[in-house]
This record gives sequence, structure tokens and C-alpha cells, in this order.
Amino acid sequence: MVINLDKLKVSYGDKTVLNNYSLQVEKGEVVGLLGPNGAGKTTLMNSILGIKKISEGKVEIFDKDVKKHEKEIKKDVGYVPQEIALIEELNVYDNVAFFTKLSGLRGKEAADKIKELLEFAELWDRRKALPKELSGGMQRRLNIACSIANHPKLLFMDEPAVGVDPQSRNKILDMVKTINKQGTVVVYSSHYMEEIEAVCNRVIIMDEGKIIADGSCEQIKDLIIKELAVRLELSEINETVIEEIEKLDGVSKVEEEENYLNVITEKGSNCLESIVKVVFENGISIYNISCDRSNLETAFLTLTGKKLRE
Amino acid sequence: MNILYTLFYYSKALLTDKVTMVVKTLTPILMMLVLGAALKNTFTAAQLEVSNVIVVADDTAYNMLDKNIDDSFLAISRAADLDEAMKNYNDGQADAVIKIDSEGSDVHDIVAYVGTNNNIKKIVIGSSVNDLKNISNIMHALADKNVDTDKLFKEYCDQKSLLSESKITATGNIPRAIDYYGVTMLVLTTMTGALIACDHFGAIFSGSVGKRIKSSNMRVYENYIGMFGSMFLVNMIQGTITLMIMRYICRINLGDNMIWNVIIVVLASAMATAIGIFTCTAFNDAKQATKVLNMVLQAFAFVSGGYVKLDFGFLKYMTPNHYVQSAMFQNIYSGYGGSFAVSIAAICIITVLCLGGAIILGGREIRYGTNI
Repeated sequence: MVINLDKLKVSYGDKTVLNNYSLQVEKGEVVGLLGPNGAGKTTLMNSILGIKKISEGKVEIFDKDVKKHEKEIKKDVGYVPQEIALIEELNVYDNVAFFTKLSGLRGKEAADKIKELLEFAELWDRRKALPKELSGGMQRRLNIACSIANHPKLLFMDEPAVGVDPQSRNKILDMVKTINKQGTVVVYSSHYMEEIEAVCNRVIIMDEGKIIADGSCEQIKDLIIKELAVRLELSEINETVIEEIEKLDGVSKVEEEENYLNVITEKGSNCLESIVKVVFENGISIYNISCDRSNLETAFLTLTGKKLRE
Repeated sequence: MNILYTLFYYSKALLTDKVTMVVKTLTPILMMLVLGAALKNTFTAAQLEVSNVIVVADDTAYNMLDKNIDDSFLAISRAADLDEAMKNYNDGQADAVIKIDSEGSDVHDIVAYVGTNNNIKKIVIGSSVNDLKNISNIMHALADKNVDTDKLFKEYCDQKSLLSESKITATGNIPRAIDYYGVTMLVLTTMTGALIACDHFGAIFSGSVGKRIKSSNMRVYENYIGMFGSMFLVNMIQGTITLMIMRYICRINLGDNMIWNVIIVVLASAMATAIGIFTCTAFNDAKQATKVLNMVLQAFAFVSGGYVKLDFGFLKYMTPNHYVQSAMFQNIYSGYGGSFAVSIAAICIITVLCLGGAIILGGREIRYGTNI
């Protein structure tokens, strides 16, 4: 097991941020921590990393107790902080070089690694620039490059793509996928469900320091899906076709909206074929059919009663 | 190796901050010049300025004085009577009035009115008057013994030794205002290294880079010593540059032993850096620590006599500035007070305690475990 948290409790003064928090993460996973600001995502990461003290509970990484094997464990752990964690007075190359050398690489091996990291972050051409001379997206990519200088087996990424343009975000998400393919387990926190859906094969929805839901994106969505909305664009709509569809098993509601017929069906009823058959039997043409499934945003709203970016 | 890499890259980062370097180097020089000029009257002048003296005397006494006085010390002019002399004196034309009254008596009654605030001038005039009195007394005594005093007096005058036997020098143990403030401002700027160390250390260690470092496998002491080394190096360079500017451009009297001056600056830089890192770690809040340190450093400078030459007694021993100042003054004007070795030892002890304390506190702060 890569991460094993057992009944973790973390407090800020009198306020308990994480309480009785347990979590297991396996090899190969990209775990998304999804939650609004203040949900406890950063605190969870900082507690696992040893930046924030834990009040109670046990943290194991690579099946080793972090209290007893801190240095050994941290050698294989990387961290991308939410803020840009770069030394502003050093240029791009020196920033990566510093963290690469701290990871223990020396000489040509270090030089090759630095070049590899800068090429991976598409920053080799800007290696002599200072961080402040880079765009927000470039700074974020450099932030990630510095974090993986030690080629970690476990990488924590705390909102690594926050505040960047869509193109840069896609590049960062591609980087995360590549890092994972190279064998690194990634714990990725965000309050952007698109990012989580794009890179994570497991999602943990957090709110007020608690796990609200845990599973794959599909599993999370299924948790809240009780109905499926089918929207049909038809050549014409009459009373007969509405009545016949209403009588079908699994159909709970039919609504007419100009040339559209909105049919609400029960989850798992599989009555789409029957609906289409009724329409054809009444001599009506179908121009378009769409099925509205829930997304993570809807799931989050349903599970917590809050919007992600409240 | 981690210590060396940290030292190398942080030094590189800090040395690129040219604005801070220039400001920190020039500020004490500016302050030294301002304070040195503004407060020079509270210090003894180093150069023997000519003292203007109005003499009221008969021809014999005045000629004797005029012939034998060293005009590099005293410039004498004659007044017809005491009223005229005092009027001129009150008009600021002279530093003193000397009245040699010998009318109707063999004994010369010598009276001096000295009004200058300048200690050196007081000494010169006082010494001159004493010499005059001595000569007068000797002549009178010898005359009683029927010695040919005219011949003796001529021989005495020919030796031109009236003042030469009590020469006064200002190049020895007494600093000028600018010399004093040169040292205190150098100490102040070196101690300002604590503020810069606190600020930089806080920005790095308490900030996002610190999070990255804390989450790495780097040991606490490696990081602390590496960062201490880099900040110490920068403070030391700044302090040494300031020292050299003061010595060779501003011509501050820093004594003959520049090597020890440099060593003291180096040790003081280490102490200041350690104090800054300790404060930042103890507060665990760089902004708060910087605010407190800013006030404390000013208080240290004041209590140790950095701004105004006051003696706060035992309190001054509580300030690290005192030990640096004391060591420098003892090096420059040996015998300034206290022990040179004790001052150097105190600087080293404070450095070790602060750095050690910071490492221990820092280790407790970022170690896994329950809340402390």
C-alpha cells in the first residue's frame, strides 16, 4: 500500500480540521481530492507530508510509519505546493538544479536530469529566465518540474493548475498523466471537477474534513443518479404519443417543450428503445436524442449541498 | 553535500539582490557622517585646533609669552586692560583671557578665564597657564637667592620648552565623533544582518519553498546550516565592504590592526545571522519576528551607546551590540574598557546558542508527531 491513514486527527487550535480520517491509496492510482475551500484537502496533504502536525492517528507511506522512517520515506515523495514554490532570485535552470542536487544526483547525472525535467516542462528554452519573467502557466510547470526532481514514487499536487489559462491547464494535466504512467502515484487536489475527471481514476469528495464519497468518477456519479433525462427533438408532438410514452414501464414523467419531448426515466429501466419505438409507430420523425447524465459537479452538490467553488 | 548546495544556491540568490546590498552598505556610512557631524561637540576633537587667547600683561610678560609660545597651539593677542579683553572675549574673538599681573610685586599673579567647550583647548590653555605660573614661581624663588634670573630666563626661553614638556596628542586613545559613530554604525549595520536573515529565512522557510524543503528528505540541521551559511556570507561581505569604505574612503580611525577588525566583523555577522534565524524560528511567523527584531535591534543599538554616547551600566551587557563595539574599540583604542577576549568569546557563544536553539526549535516544528 502506498498510503495508509488510520483515524487521523488534525487540529488548528481548538478547531478540528480532520477527524477520524482514514484512507488507503494503492499503486498506480491518481487520487483526486475534490472539495470546496476549507474542506481539508491541503491540511490532509500537509499532515501526510509532515508539514502539519497530527494530533492523533497513524500515517504509513510505502507500508512504513512516517515517524520512524521519515528520511527514508521523504526521499521518494514529491510535493507541488498550492503556491509557486520557487526561489525568485534564481533562474529557471538553477531552481531545478537546486532541487535536483538536493535529491542526491551529482555531475552529469544531475545535468541530464535537469535537462530532462526542463524539456518535460517545456522550459528548456527559458532556462535562463527568472521565474517572474515566466507566464503563470510556465511558473506552474516549473513548480511541478522542481517537485519531481527526485523522481518520486508518490507525488502530492495541491491545486497545481489553479489560476492558469485552459491551454496551460491542459499541458499540466498531460504532465500529471505522464508522471503517473511513469509509475508515480499522484494525489491531486482541486476544486475544479474538470481537472479531477481528466486525470484521476479515483475521486475522494471531501467536505469539512470528512470523506463524503470515495470511488471512480463513474461510481461517484452513480451514487446520486436515480433518474435519466431523455430529450427528443421530434418532427411533431401529439397527445397520443405523450400518453403512450407515459404508460411505458420505467417512465416517471413526460414534458412537452416546443418540438422537444423531455422524458424522465428511472435509473436502470433501459426504456429508451421502447420510447423510440412508440415515436416511430406514431409516424413521427426523430431529429435528435440526448441523454443527460449527472457530472461530478452535480454529484458534489447533491452529496454536500454545496457548490464546489463556494 | 546538501549543506553546501543550500549554501551555494541561496548565496547566489541573495547576492543577486543588489538593491539590498547597496542600501545596507551605504546606510551606515550615511548615518555615520550625519551623526558624526551633528554630535561632534560631545566628543574630544582629535586635531589640536589653535586656541585664541587674549593676554593682559605688561610688556615683559607679554614679550616672554609672545616669544616662547608655540603658535600651532596658542594664538595670543594683547588687550590694554581686562575690560577690553573681556569685551573681545564675550564677542567670541577668543577662547580665553589670561591676565598676568606683576605691577607692584615680584610675584606674577596669573588668572585665566577659559570659556571654550573644547576639551583639548581647555587642556592646552590650562597647561600653558600652569607653565606660566611655574616659571613665574621659579623665577621669583631664584631671584630671592640672588641668581641671575635674566640670564636663566633667556636660556630657558632659548630652549623654547615652555609647552614642549607637556605636549598633548590626540592621535592616541580618544576617538573623534566620526570615529565613534563609524564603529557604532558599522556594528549597527552588521547587526541589521539579523533583520535581513530573519526576513530571508522567513520568506524561504516559512513560505512555499520551505514547505517543499520540509517535505523533502533534507535534514533540519542541513537546511539551517546551509541557509545560515549563505546569509552569513552575504552579511559578512556587506560588513567587510562597509568596513573598508569607512577605513579607506571615509578615513575613519580604525586603528592599525585591520585584520582583527575584519575578524570582529565576520564574527558579528555570524552572530547577527544566527540571531535573525533564531528569532524567525522562535516566532514561527516571519512578519511578526521581523517587526519585533526591528524594535529590539534599535533598542540594542541605543542601550549599547550606538546613537548617543550614554552608559546604561549593566543593561549594556545584555545587548550583543555591546560586545562587538567593545571588541572593536578595544582593538582600535586599546584599553577602552572590559576585556577583548571576553567580548570575542561572548559573540561566539551568542552565535552558537542562537543557531543551536534555532535548529532545535526548527526540528521540533517540522517533525512528525503530536502537537507540542
